[in-house]
Amino acid sequence: MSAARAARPRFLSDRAQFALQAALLGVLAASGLLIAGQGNGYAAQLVFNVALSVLLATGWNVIGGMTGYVSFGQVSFFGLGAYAAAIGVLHLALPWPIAALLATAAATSLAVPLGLIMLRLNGIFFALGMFGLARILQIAANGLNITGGPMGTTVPAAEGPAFPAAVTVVIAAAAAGVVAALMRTRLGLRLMAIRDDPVAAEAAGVNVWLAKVAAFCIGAGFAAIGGALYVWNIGYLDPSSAFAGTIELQTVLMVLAGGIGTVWGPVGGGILMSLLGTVLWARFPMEQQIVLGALTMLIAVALPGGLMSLLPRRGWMARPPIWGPPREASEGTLLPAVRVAVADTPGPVLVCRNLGKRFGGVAAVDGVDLEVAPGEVLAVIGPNGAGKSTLFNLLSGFAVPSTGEVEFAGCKIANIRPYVLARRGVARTFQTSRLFPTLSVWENVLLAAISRHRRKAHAVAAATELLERMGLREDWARLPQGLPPGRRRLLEIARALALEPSVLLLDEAMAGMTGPEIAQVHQVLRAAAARGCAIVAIEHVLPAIAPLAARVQVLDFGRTIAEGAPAEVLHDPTVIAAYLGTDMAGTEFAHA
Amino acid sequence: MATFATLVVLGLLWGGVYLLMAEGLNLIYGVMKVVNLAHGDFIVLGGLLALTLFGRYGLSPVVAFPLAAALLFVIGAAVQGGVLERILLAKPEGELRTLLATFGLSYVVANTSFLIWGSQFQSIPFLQSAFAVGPIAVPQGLLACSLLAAALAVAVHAWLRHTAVGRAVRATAQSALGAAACGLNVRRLRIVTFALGAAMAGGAGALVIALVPFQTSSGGDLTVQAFTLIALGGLGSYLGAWLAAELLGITEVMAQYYLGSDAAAAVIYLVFIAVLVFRPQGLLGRTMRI
Amino acid sequence: MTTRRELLQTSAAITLLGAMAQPRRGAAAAGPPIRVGCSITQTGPYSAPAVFELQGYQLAAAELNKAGGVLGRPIEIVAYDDQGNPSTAVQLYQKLIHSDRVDLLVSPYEADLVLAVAPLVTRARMVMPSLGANIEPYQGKYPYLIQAITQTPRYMVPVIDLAASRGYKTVALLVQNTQFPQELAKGIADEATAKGMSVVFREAYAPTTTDFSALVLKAAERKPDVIIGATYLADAMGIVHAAKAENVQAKMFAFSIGPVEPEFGKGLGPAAEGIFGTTLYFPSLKTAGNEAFVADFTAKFGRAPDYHAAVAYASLKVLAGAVQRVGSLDQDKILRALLQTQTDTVVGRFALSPTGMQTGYTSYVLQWQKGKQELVWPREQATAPVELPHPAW
Repeated sequence: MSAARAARPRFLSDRAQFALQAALLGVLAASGLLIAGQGNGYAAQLVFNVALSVLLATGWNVIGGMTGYVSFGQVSFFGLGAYAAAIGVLHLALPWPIAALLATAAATSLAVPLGLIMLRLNGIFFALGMFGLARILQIAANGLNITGGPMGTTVPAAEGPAFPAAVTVVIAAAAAGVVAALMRTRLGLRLMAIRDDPVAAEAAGVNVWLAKVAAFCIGAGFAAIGGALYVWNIGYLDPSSAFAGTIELQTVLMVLAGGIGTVWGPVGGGILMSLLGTVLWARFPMEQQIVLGALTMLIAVALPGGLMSLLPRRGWMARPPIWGPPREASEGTLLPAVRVAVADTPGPVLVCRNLGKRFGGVAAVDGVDLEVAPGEVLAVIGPNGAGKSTLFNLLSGFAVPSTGEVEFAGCKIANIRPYVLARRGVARTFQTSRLFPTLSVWENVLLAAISRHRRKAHAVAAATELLERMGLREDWARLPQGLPPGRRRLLEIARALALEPSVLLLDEAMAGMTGPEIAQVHQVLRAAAARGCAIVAIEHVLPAIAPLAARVQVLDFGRTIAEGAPAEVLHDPTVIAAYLGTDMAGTEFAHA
Repeated sequence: MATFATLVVLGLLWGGVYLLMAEGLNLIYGVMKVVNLAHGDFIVLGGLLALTLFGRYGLSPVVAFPLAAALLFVIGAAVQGGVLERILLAKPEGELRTLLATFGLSYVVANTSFLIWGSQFQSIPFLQSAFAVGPIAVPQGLLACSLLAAALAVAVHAWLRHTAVGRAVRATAQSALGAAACGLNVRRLRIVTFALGAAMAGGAGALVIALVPFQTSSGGDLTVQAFTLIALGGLGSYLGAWLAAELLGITEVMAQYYLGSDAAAAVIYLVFIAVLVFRPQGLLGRTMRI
Repeated sequence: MTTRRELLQTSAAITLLGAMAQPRRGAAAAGPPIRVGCSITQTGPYSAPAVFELQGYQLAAAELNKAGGVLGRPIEIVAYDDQGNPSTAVQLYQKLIHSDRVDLLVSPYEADLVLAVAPLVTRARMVMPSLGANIEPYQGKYPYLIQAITQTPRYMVPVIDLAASRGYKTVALLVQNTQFPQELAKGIADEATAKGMSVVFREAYAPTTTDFSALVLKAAERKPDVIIGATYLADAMGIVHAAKAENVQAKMFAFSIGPVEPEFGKGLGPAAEGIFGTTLYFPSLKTAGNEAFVADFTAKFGRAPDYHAAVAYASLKVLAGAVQRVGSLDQDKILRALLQTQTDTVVGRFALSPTGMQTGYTSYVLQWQKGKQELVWPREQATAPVELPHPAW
C-alpha cells in the first residue's frame, strides 16, 4: 500500500508545500504578536515563555535532532549568551540589541573550540560530556565577581514583557524558518546523513567533522540568543538559573514530544509543552516535575517520533524533498563520469604495495600487492575472513595500514581523510548495505552528487541521470527500507557512482540481487569502465563479477594466493582448496 | 608523615565509598550497555528510606541496608520490565530512548521523594567514631562502606563467574542474540540485572547517607560522580572501577589538602571530560570486563 | 535564612514555565483600604519557609486593622505566587506597581528575589522593607530599599562575643565559596580582630564539597580554640562528621546555617551535642511584644512562628508605623521616616544606617544540648546556660 502511495505523483509541489508551511509559521507568529501586543500582563509573559521555548527547542534540534548528537548540556550556550549579554550591557554600556548580537557571536565562536573537543565524543558520552560542561560553566560563573558570583546580578531590562515577547516571537519564527531552509541546503542534507550513518556519510564525501561543528555552532547560536533575550526580559541573572538543568530537561522534552529531527517538532512541541507546563504548574505545582518526568518516559517508550510521527510521512507538514523531485531524464545534461585528469594519467590509477593491517596479533591483511588501471575491472575474491573488507578499508582511507602504502593517482593516501579521498574520486560501497534510512532514495544519491558538483544544477542533473540509469527514478521518494534488497544494492552503487569516481570499490555489491538487477549493474559498470573508471569488486563468489572482470585476485588469510584471468584462477588448485578444502573441488565454480 | 599517611588512608576509604555508589551503575552498564541516569536518585531513595526507618522505628542502617536494597530491587525490576524492555536497544535510537527514559525516571524519583521527605539535607547518626591505628584515625563509617564495597565487588564477581545465572548474565552481556539463541530467557536476565544494579544503589544509599547528607535533589550529582568513576575505570570493568575509585578518592583528598578545597571541586568535571575525550576506553582499556 | 541558595545550586528552579498566579487577598475592613503588595513563594520546592512569611504579613495586617488600621484605613495584603523564581517575581512586582497600583510594598523572600525586583522598585520610587541579608543593595545602590533583616556580616557577631567572653584567642574559619558565607566570614574576621582574637586559618571550599576530612585536618594543624563554619546545613554536618571521625578537637564549634535546622540534630545525633549555631529569632525571645506575637500566631495558624514569620511581621509593623507618623502615603516621606526609625520589634532592635542598611538587628546563639536547641547567648535571652568547652568527641 505504501509502495503505491509513494510511487504516485505528488499531490503538492514542494514549492507549494514550502509556501503552506511558511504560511502556518506566519499565522503562529502573528497570533503570538497579537497576544503580546495586548499589554504587559501575563499573556505577554506567557507568549515570551512559549516563544523562548520554541527558540531553544529549535536550536537543540539542530545538533540533537538533525545531526543526532543528543546533548544534555545545550543550556551551556543559553547561559553563555545570557552572561555575555549581561556583561556587555553592564560593563561595556552597550545598548541591548548590540549586546545581544555580540553575545550570540561570542557564544557561537566559543562553540567552535568546544565543539572540536566535545564532538570527539559520541552517543551517551557526548550527552554526558555536555552535562559536565554545563556544570563547569556554572562553577565558573559562580566565581565571576563582575556578575555577582553565585548571587547573580540585576541587569537593566526591558519595560515589561510585551516588547521582548514580540521580539522573541519574531526571532523564534525566524529560527524555525532558518532550520527549514537549512534542511534544504547541502549542509542540512549532510547533517541528516551524519545522523543516519557517519561512516557512510564520510564515504559519500561528507566532511563529517566540519558539518557537525557547524551544526553545533548553529545550535549554540540559537541557545545564546535565547539566553540574551531571557536576561533582557527579566533583568536578573544568576548561575543556577542561567545553567539550569530544568531548562535542558524541558527543551529535550519539547523536541521529543514534537518530533525530533523535524522542523515542526520543536515548534509544536515547544508551544504545546510550555502551555501544558503552565497549566500543570497552576493545578499541581508540587507534582509538575513528576508529571514532566513521567511524560518523558512515556514519549521515550511509546512515541519516539513525537507528535510529528502521527502525521502522514508525505503530508504537507512533512519535510519537503531536498532539491527534488528529479526532473524527466531528457532535461538533464549528461556529465562526464570520469575526471579527465586522472583518466589521462598513464599507468595504474590505484596501486598498493606490501599492504598489511594487524589487529592485535592477527594479520587481517598481510603484504598484499594490488594495482588497477583506468577502465580496468579487477575482481577480488576469497572465502569469509580472507581480509577483503579490511583491504577495502585500507584502500578507501577508513583504516590506516600497519605496513606498506596505497597510492591513488600517483599520490600516497596516508593521512588523507576518507571524505577527501571520496571527493578526489575513490568511491566505495559497504558489505552490509549502509544507506541513510531517513533520507529518500533521491537524497541518498544527491548527497554524493553534491560532493562532486559545486553547482546545484549539475548535482541535480547527475543524480537524476543515475537514478534513471539504475531504474530507480520511480522510487525516488521512497525510503531505502521500502526497497527490495537487490534494489537497495543498486541504490548504494548509484550513490557511489554519483561521486563520479576514478576508482570504484564495490564490496559484495551484487549479493542478493536478482538476475535482471545484476544485468543492470553490469551495464552501468561497463559504461563507467568504458569512460575510464577503474573498478575493484570484492565478491564472495566469482560469477556475479566474472563477466566484467579482466583479472581476478584471490585472497586468503590476508595474502594473495592467486592472480590472473578468471578462467585460470578458477582452476587453480590453491584457490579451490582455500574455498572448499580439497574434496569438493570445483563444485561451486562449475557454472562460472 | 603521619598526616600524609592519614591522607592516603582517607583517600583510599573515600575511594571505597565512591566505588560503593558506582557498583550498581557499572553492573547495569557492563551487562546491558545502559547508563541508568536515575542511578543517583536510587541511591538517595535508599538513603531516605534508611532515614525513615531510623527516625520512625529506630532501626540501624545495617537493618535498613537489606530493606532498601530489596525495595530498589523491586523498583528496578519494575522499571526494566515495565519500561526499558519496551525499548529495543538494537535499533539505532535505542540508546537515546533508554537514556531519555531514565532521565525522565530520575525526575519522577527525585520529585516523588521530595513530596515525601521535603528538600532539606538529611543524615543518620551512625558509625561516627574512628579507630586509632597508631597515629592514624580510621573513621568507622568510611571503613564499613569500603569493606562493603569490596565485599560487593567480590560477591558480584563470584556471582558472575561461578553461578549459572551469573554465567547466563555474562553471556547476555557478550551477545544478547547468542544468549537468546542458546535458550536463555534474556528478558528475565536483563530484569534481574537491572534490579540488582538498582538494589546495589539503594543499599549503598542506606549507608552513605550516614557519611554524606542527602537531599532529594542530590541524585543528579551522584549519577555524574558514579558515571565519571566507571568511565574512568573503563565502563563495565569492575577492576578498572575499583582502581578509578581509589584514584579519585586519593586525588580529591590530596587536592583538598595541598591545592585547596575550592580547586578540588572543579577537578571532578575536568577529569570527567578529559577521560571521555582522551581515553574513552578507560584506565585499563578493554580488559577485565564483566 | 533558609538554604534556598543551596537548593538552587543542586536542584532546579522552574525557570521557563511560568504560571498564572491568583491574587490572594487578606481580610478588608471598612473604608478604602491601603493595599500592600508582595510576591511570596507559595508553591514549588521553596514554598515551605515562605508560607511563614505570608502568615507573618497577614498577622501584622490583622493586628493593625484591629487597632483601627493605618491612617484610619484598613490594610489589605495583595500577595501573588512567585514560585521562588526571580523572573516571575519581576513580572509580579511590575503588575503590583503598574497595574494594581498598590499603595505600599513589602518584600519577597529572600536575597535573590529581592535583588531581582530591586531595580524595578527603585525606578518606581516605592519604599520596600526588604528581606535580603546581603549588604550590597543598601549601600546607596537602591535608595528605596531598606533592610528589614539582619545584615550578613553581623550574623555571627554574637558567637565571637561569646568566644571572646571565654578568653578564646584563635579562630579557624571554613567558608563555603559562595557569596553569603563569604560576606559572613568577613564579618566574623573583622569582629574577631576587634575583640583581640586572631584568625589562624581561613579557607574557602567549593559548594559541591562533600568530603571535608582533608580540610578539617588542615585546620586542626593550626590548633584553633574555635572552629567556625560559614556554611549551610549539608556542609555543617559534613564538617562535624569529619571532625569527629578524625578526632579533631577544639574548644568550640560554631556554624552559621546548620545547627538552626532540626535536621542537624536528627542527622548527627550525639555528634550534634554542644555545637553552636545562630538564629535570627527564637519563640522564647524576651523581645518587645514577642509573647503576644507567638500566642496570636500559634492561635491563628496552629504552629509556632519561625524567623521568616517574625521578620515579615516586624517589617510590616515598622512600615505601618512610619506611614502613621508621616500621615500620608508619600513614599519619599515614608523613606525618610523609616531611616530615622529606631524601635524595638519581636526580632530585636530595628535601626538603619543612612543608606538603609540594617544596623540594629543581630542574631542569637543557640546550642544543641541533650538533643534540643537551647538559646544560650546573649545571656539575658538564654534559655539554658552555655556549656563550654566542647568535650572530646
